[in-house]
Amino acid sequence: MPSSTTSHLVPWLARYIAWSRRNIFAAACATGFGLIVLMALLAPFLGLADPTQIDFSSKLLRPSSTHWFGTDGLGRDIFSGVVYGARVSLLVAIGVVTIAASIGIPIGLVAGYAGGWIDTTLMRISDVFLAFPPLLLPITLAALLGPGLLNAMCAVAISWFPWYARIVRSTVLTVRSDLYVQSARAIGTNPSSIALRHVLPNSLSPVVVQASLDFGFAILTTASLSFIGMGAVPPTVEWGLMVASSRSVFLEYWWTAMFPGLAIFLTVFFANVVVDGVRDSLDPKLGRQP
Amino acid sequence: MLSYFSRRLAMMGLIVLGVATFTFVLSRALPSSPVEMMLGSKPSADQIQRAKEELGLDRPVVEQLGRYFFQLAQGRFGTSMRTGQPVIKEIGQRLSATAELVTLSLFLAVVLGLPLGILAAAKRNRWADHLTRVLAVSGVAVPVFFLGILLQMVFYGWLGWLPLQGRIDSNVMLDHPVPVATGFLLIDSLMDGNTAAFKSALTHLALPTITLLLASLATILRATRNLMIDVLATDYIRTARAYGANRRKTYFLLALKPTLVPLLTIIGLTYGFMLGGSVITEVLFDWPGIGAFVVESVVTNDFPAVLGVTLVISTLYLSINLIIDMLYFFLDPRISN
Repeated sequence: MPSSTTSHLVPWLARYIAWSRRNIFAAACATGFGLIVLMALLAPFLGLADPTQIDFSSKLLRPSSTHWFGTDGLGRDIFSGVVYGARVSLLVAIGVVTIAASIGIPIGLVAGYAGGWIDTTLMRISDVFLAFPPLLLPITLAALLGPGLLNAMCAVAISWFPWYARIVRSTVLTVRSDLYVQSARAIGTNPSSIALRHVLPNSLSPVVVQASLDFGFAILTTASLSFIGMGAVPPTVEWGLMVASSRSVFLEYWWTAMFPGLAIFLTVFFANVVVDGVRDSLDPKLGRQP
Repeated sequence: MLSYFSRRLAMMGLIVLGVATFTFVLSRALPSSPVEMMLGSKPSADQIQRAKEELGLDRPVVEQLGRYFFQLAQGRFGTSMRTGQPVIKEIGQRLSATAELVTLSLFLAVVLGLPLGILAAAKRNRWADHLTRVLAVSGVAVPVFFLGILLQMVFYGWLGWLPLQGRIDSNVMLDHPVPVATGFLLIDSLMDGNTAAFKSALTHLALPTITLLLASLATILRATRNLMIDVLATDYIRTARAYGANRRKTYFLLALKPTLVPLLTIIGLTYGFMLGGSVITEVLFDWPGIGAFVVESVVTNDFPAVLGVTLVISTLYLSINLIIDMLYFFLDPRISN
């Protein structure tokens, strides 16, 4: 390895090791999350059984050395379902927060920077989306868009965009009176260029925080939609759908629900702990307590 | 204060109108046509045309919207295409089941969450605090449906202590019918002195309640802990301690009081989460509430029912938010003055 890379890498690693000594729990969770990401990336190269392969001759088999997590009611291997499901859930979570943010950011930017009636109109429209208790709007939207994981993802993202719009708007309101924005205005820079080149980049960090906080929640919400039949449809391999399909048999064949359910739980658990840990160590207000 | 609330109330009315418009327009953009659902698999073009005229679907959307508002103003929410009953009646029959489940869950979440949060703050960074931290992180990470299934596995499948699903044993209901007074089976059976029905209702409530409350308990617990830690570091608590005020008084009276106002916001938020979580819980436990009704209506494309129930639930949700804002006025002297 060239020395220039190592000199970049080593301090980073040293800092990570020092951090994990102080936060053993968070470090363990970060490792767990890393393993899940690795599992998702490497799924096709692990030589696993096809998770969609139906085989009635081997249905509802107990966990064994051939089927580590057993098989489900259609004889599909649950272990490879759990591994392939990781790809779906992680991608879905990234997709949901990305779509939600990319709808919310422009709306918040325009509302906050333009002000006046444009602001009022955009915010009142957002209020309508916020008038639904969590999960109700995603369910309704998913039903209207029709089944399928992509539609479920959009349904969740559309329900969540007002949060992003609000966050961006409130940051824009403070940033736009900053000195550098005033000076840009004074020298006659045109408004859209100020908004895009000066205000927007300085309003994004709360959005990143919100997106990472929503990551786990996005996995939970889409899995819930799949569970009630409003999300993923076969042959998509999705954890919520796997739990749903176990509903008629899980009392006798516990493994059919246990492993996909645990997979959701652990992924969200690890993700939340890691996000909290990173946020705390970045927040100068919390500081380091002796 | 009165003018503030009348403005808030007017705003809420506008938002409800917005919700009604939004859901109505969306339902008209529905890919699966309600007419097909009404007429079965292969209707003739003539039948479709007649059904559309009957439902007013051939008119412009704006006119349809106007008619819809006119109906709403008369308190008519339309008729469910699945059951043939007026939607408002369906909702009325199911509201009490959801209310019983959500109220009990919220009550328990607050009653358990506050003391545990205080304990965690008092024993900060000791094992009790770490234990509640793990409970709190798990509580918000576990999918509601998975938690419910785990409880069903353990308490019905393995131990056989509690029933799998439903609100009450149908045999008990036949032998010992409960007169409807409040709509809450627990209260109604108790007032009637009907112990068999009370026991059945209580055992049926146990698992869905635990399923629904865990996430809220976790949220309330951690919020109480964090708020208490801030308060415990203030001068007046140090003074009280220096004067020798006993621990119980310090924690439960002096320190808890200022945390109650922000806690109210958290509790209001968790109430909203419960309304959402009740959808999954009710489906899983076959609970005859409005959450299950939402899913049944959505799955069958019963659009009058979807519109009605969405409107009712969001109005409920907005009202709760408004009530909480009003409570601030009475709890926080800085606002009411």
